[in-house]
Amino acid sequence: MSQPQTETMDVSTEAKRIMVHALGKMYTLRTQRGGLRLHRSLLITLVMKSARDIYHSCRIASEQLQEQANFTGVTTESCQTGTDPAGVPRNVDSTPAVKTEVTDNCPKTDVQSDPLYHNSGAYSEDKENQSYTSPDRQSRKRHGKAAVEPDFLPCKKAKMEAVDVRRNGALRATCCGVKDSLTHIPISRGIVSF
Amino acid sequence: MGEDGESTKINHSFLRDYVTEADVISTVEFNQTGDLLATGDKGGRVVIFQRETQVSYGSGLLTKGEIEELGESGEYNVYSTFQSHEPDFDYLKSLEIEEKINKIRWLPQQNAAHFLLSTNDKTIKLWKVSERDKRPEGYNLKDEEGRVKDFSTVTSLQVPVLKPTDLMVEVRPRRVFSNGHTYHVNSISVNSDGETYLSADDLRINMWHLGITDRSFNIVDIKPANMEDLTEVITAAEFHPKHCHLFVYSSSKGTLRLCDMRASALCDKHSKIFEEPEDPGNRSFFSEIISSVSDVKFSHSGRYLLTRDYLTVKVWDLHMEKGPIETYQVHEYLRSKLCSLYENDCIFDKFECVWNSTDSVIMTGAYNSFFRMFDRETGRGVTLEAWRESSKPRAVLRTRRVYTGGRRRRGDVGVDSLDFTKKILHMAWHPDENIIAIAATNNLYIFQDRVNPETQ
Repeated sequence: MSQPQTETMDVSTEAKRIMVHALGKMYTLRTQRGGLRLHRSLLITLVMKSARDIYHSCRIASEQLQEQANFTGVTTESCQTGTDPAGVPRNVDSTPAVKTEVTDNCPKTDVQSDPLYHNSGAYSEDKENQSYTSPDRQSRKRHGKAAVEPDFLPCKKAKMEAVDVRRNGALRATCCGVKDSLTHIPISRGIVSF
Repeated sequence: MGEDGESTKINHSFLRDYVTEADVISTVEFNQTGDLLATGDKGGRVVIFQRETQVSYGSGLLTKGEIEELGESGEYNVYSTFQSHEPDFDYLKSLEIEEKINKIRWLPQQNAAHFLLSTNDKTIKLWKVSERDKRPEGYNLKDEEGRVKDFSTVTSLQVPVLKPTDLMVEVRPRRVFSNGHTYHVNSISVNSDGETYLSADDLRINMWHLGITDRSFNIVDIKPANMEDLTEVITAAEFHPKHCHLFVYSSSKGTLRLCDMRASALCDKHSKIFEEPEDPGNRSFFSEIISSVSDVKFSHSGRYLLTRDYLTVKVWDLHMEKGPIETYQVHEYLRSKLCSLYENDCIFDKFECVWNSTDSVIMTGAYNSFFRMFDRETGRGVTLEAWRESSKPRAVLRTRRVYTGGRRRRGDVGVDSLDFTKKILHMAWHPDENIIAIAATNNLYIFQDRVNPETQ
């Protein structure tokens, strides 16, 4: 029982380390001579996104493991349909098959199925920072990467927006792939203004 | 440097880094005959080397034919040096524009002068390189220094005569192609039509006429309407060596797109797309970074494409889009080190790749001053080193090996002993002979194959 947990922890630590480095690199890029390098920014963003997805899915996986450890008598079925601590109903699309896949294969996670997870996972994590995550195209605001990592950086998102996003997220059958999640990657303001 | 005392060591290394940063070579290119070799550096300078055609042997000079027969290849000496680009500033965006020369491409020679294109991040320049070895003497109204003569001293008229002088190489800018690119220019390629060339930045490719500087055609534009939707950028582009309507561009996602300019004015829709499905077993955090293509080159025949991504070089057949026909591992032992290579930024290094003149051998660079050559017929690769300490001029290069397991031979280098600051990113292969030019930081190495000087 503890071994998958340690594996999950290792991957999660590595993912966190990669994200920290990515943030550092993004800041360095902005001060480099010659202006912002678009190619490198994009690659760092992609790495950050992969690491973030895996970090979240590992956190959910480890939470699930803990839940399973606590509620030994309860079937997996009721575990999945139950609400998470934040009171947000789990996404209906999260099928049992997908969940077990992530739990078992955390180190080599299928990125395609992750966004399903990190959407619901992010909701449960931190109420204040829920403005991030769902592929909310209606919202034109750029969701800072800061919103994803509350323990490194201060969050600047207003709570009001969080409520709207949550509502939108719940209504839509989220099936976002890797591509969709990229809508929330904030490339430097300077580029958008071109 | 090892003799320096502890207190002076820091100062010296600071100075060394400061001084030589501008000398780091950023591009190398032979002209179409191979007699000229141009290098560009981070300081915006271009140095042109010329191959000696006169070799003194015994009591006389050899002709070019005699040189080849004896296997004595001429050496390359400095021919001309000039400042191509200066550091610039974009006042509107408050951005510095680096003077580093990203690419140099020679134009096919049409008269006595040579022409080359050089580019930094934003501006492309056409330079004319011409020789002057005669000067007129005997002017009537001016003296030898050019001062106007006192007319009362002029009693007769003379016809100025051309007298030979020391060879002077003049380099003059003939065209400046500016304001064509919002993003950083990564490639230029001269068309086989001899009149046009393309320049590519991260999101757009423009086609220029060599004679027109105030206008260019945009032929590819992959900028999304919303920059937040950006998923890939253009990493390299090249015209087909024979068909003036075809060009290829590579992307950060590892795809190649072949475009036909006859199909439409804007070639956003590719004629062919070459991509290899990802191996799910190799998936990691860094899969996207290592699949980004850093260089693409057409073979001389025009039938194949050569691409370089972080760990491999691949040969593609233009007739087969579903995957490369050959894949060569450049340094597979780095796959398990990707995390530390990401931390020290080496994972973002962009290596170039080149064909030999007969398209039978391909070459690319690696770390620790190593570069690799792959023989396409046998599939075998060899590792060579461009490092002054281990090879004297005219010494035979010995092959090197990186120890990855099994029996360890003398001279093998362990993966953890590799010096990642010594990277071979830029190189060129002579168009006809087995002569290669390798740029190793601020040094240029030229190697010649004495056994098989002419490629068979």
